Amino acid sequence: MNLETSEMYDHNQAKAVVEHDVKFQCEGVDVYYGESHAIKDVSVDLLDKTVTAFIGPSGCGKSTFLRCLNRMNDTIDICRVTGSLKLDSEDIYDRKVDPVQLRARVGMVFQKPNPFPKSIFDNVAYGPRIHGLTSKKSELEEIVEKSLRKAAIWNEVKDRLHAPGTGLSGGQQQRLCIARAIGPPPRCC
Amino acid sequence: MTDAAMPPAAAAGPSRKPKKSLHVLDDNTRRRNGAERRFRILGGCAVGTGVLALVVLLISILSAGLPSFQQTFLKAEIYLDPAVLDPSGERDPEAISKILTFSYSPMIKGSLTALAEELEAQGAENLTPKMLADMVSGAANAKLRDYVIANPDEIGKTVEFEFLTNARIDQYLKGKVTRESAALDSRVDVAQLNAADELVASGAMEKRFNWDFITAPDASENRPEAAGLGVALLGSLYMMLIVLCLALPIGVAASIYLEEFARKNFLTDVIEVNISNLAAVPSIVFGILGLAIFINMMHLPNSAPIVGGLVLTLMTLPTIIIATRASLKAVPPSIRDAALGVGASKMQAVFHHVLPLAAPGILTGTILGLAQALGETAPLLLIGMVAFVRDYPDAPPGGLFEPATGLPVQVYNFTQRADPAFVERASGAIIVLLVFLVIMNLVAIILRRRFERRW
Ligand SMILES: Nc1ncnc2c1ncn2[C@@H]1O[C@H](COP(=O)(O)OP(=O)(O)OP(=O)(O)O)[C@@H](O)[C@H]1O
Ligand SMILES: [Mg+2]
Repeated sequence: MNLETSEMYDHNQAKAVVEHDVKFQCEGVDVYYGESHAIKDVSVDLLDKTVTAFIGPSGCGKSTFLRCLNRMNDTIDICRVTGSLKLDSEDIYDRKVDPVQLRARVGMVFQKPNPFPKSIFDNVAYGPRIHGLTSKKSELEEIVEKSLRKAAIWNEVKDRLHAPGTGLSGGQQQRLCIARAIGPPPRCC
Repeated sequence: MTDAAMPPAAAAGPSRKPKKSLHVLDDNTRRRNGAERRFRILGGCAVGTGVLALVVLLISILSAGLPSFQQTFLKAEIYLDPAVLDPSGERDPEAISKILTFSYSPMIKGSLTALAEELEAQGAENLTPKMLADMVSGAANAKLRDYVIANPDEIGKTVEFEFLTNARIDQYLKGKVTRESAALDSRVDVAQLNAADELVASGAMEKRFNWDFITAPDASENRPEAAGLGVALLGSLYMMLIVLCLALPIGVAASIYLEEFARKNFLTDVIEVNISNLAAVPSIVFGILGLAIFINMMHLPNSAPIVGGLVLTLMTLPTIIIATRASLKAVPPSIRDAALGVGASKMQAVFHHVLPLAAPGILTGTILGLAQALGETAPLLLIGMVAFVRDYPDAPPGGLFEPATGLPVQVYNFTQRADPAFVERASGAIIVLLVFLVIMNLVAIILRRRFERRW
């Protein structure tokens, strides 16, 4: 769905489904950083099980818009979002929505690679662990391998899963972050 | 020089001559190198001054204090008379401990008389039983009694016992008391020094390492030879435990709340300024506070480690909070984003990722705070921890409410006393304090190593 995570595109699924539902429905989104108006009146529908790319000059608000989709902008004090953003026709900026629960469903890979200063394995296993998906080691290993394979980095790191994730090259680190983001729970990224 | 900056002609061929040779330093480079060299020299001097000061300090403390770990003893055979020590003959520890130190005097006198006679037979000239008795410390009775209570099976046997000698003889063997100074001193005379020489020659008197200096309680003004640091050491240990158990969790919790959860507003700004100011408040002010609140209002006992610990906790908190906040600030925000991005709650992000990364800094701050607290004297004086305490406090938690002193107060106490033999003991106490500090730092370094990670 976005440029920065386009590598996680799952070919098999995309071929099977031709008619896509609308996943995100955004209307008249405005984002302000304090006084500065970063995004002006964006309306766009993002389809389920598709890869959507945002293209634009640097500083035009691509990252800002992505951060709206899982309310990462909440962590920036001066940031204000108006307009309507709906995930499966539920307003994600509704008062009843807990952003933590939202982020468990809408993953995000950031512009700069930011692996945890832990082992490669722990980086990918962190999501499944905190969401209580599995406590069995074998299942966890399976999940980690699957995520790393989907992020096209398994072959490079399979022999050193317990080496620190920060010891990888920049590109590898970013793919590790992708693996971390696409691992279960099932989500849109 | 970048590619773009190169004039087109320069690319012509290998024969071109550079306008500026890289083999010759230009003025600007030379100037900058000079500045760097001067800074290095300055830095080296600064480090050298610091190291020199430290070395001088260590040498002076060690040379003054190390002798206090040795003590002079007089070895003599003594018959532990069962008729006096255990009239019932049941070796009942309770009955034995009821015998007063006073009852030991005749036995000691007999033992010393026998020693004097034996040495005289070997040709010693200056020894009389009275002289030996004068050379033995007034604390010898109590030490012998402790020995008997600890080894009731020895009653009825003749054992070799090491009698503590008095401080003058001890200082003579350490070279501090001379014949000139003895002539002016009412508590020692030259004849005793001659006798000491003979005893040393015969092997009956010698200096040896003295654990009692570290473990024994304080002794009265005129028995410096028996004074030890046991109670002060326990008191300091208890206080450090209290400070660690209270200041670390409270400080870290407060810092995490202020740094990660609290909204930045006027109130948090006020709190921040106040915490910084608290760190600069003189420690004696905390002592007055402790006296007013913990003793006068809450009626906690005087001189107790619990009060000292609470006061020192208040004093240490700002240091820990400032250090913790600084190390939390130093954790890159991208780590928090990463955790939140995979759906961690704020608390999970903090406890799983931010806190482990900040741990080395928090540890450093805590150790700094503890070290400061360990060496603090002024507030303890105000809450009565300067009292003369001879009884060991019990094990915690009960012992936290019993009177004790602290190491720095003990140093202060020793330096206040008239007898010059206490000078050595004050320096010795400083060495123990420093060793305590070094051990604490080592623990911190080991913990740091375990937490430290590459980014
Ligand atoms: N935390 C912030 N505080 C204030 N202004 C911000 C912040 N983040 C972004 N902006 C501003 O919002 C605008 C959009 O930034 P954004 O990061 O979304 O750009 P981008 O399209 O992702 O650019 P790039 O392609 O360089 O990554 C920019 O003008 C930027 O200066
Ligand atoms: Mg961007």
